[in-house]
Amino acid sequence: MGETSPISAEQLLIGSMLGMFLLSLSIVIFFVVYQRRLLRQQQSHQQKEADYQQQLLRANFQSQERERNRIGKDLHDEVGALLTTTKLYFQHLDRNTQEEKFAEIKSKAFSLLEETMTTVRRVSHDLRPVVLERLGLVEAILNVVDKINQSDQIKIEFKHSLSTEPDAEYSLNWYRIVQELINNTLKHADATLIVLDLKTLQGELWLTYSDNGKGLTPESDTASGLGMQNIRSRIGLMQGEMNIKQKEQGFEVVLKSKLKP
Amino acid sequence: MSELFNESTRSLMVAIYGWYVFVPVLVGLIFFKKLNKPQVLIFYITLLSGLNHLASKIVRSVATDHNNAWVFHVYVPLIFWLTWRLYKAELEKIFFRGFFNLLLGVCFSFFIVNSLFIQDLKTVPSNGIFVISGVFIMFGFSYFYSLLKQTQFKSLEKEPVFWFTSGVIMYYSSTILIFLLVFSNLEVSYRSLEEEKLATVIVSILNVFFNLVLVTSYLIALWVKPPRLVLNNFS
Repeated sequence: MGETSPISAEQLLIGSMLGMFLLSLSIVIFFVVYQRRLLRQQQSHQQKEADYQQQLLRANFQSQERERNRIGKDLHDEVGALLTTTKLYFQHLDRNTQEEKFAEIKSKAFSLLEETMTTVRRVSHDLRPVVLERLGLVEAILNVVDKINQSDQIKIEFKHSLSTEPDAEYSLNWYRIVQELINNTLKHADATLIVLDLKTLQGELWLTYSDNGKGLTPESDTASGLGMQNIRSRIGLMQGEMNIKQKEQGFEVVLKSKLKP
Repeated sequence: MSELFNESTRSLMVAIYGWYVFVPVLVGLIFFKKLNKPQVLIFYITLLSGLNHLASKIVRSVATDHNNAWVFHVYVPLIFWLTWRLYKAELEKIFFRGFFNLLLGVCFSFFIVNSLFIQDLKTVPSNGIFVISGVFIMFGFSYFYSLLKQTQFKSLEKEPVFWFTSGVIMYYSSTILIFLLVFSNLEVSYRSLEEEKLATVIVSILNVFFNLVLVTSYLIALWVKPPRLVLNNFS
């Protein structure tokens, strides 16, 4: 075994200085690399967020356009046609017309005017449901549920336990969300039962919606369709959350938001 | 080792450093109007380093005893104050309230006591340099820690304080040992006088090398253009 020479003070000092230098240089390099990676992740996340917001905005515009088209169609096809027919009846109302004929035309004209008023009421109700404004969210949903249950095509079970009524703007959002969900089920699910559970929990509004239909796959049109995007957009506006549960059969979604802005 | 680390290498490197220390000062003067607040402080630090180098050289050649130690007694508190101001703005959030003022008070008290009672104006204030080295290393690591805590990430290459901190950490963590071992009264045993001379030259060369690294970090910190905040004008 050879003799080990002791490390000189010179070697120790130089070694330590260089060691410290390399160590601090490594720390600096580590931070540059680490920060770059985080920055890339952040940029990618921001890009995704921007894409998502753009998608929601597009859905919002499309939804507005769809609503305008519907109102335009209702006014043109129904109100317009009814008013045109009423005008024709009024043109026949002449002093020279026989009294019996006059009464018959007048009655038909009034009947048409009443029909026009009902149609206008329905159009305006679709824009802003009166029940929702007067009686609140639960009654408004009950109204929808009753109408659908009367059709005997599908059964809706509606459970509710709201301790506080949400803010008016939020109520309308929740009402539209329920309408959209039910519409999706009616259009695409071939379901026979819908279960709606609306409750307040720790100062938040929770809605559990499920049906026994075909269910939703991530690839299906419904999952990425305008209706679901509208729901996401409304939930996003209320700073809420939406969680679609994976089920073997049927569809289930849990939504929650605050009660007011 | 002595082929590379000898007196002529040391002289060459000191000469290079003598000029190079003024390059960031020049860059700072050219871009002064475009510098942001931290960069202005870095410029003052650069200027102070340049003036310290110049003053110590002049005093050394003018003074009868060639002693320029008092220049460092002035330099240490000033460089500490400027660096303290820079990091106070950057790191105030991660320390408790009053930490920076306490640190300033404690360190200044120490510098005064050290200059008056421990290491007089004829002695290099190695205690003061050792203290600022320790504090600056702490500032540097705290800055890196604050980077880990941030939620909005930015490109570090365009951050003047990052470059400044990198230089500070590399320089002070490498040279703190010099002040601990060489200039302090700790006993370092050498096998021969020859070895002691060589060790002094090597340490001196390494010190100049680390100084060059530090000045380079000042230069980059003043050169980079940090992204400006864009404010929308809604008027």
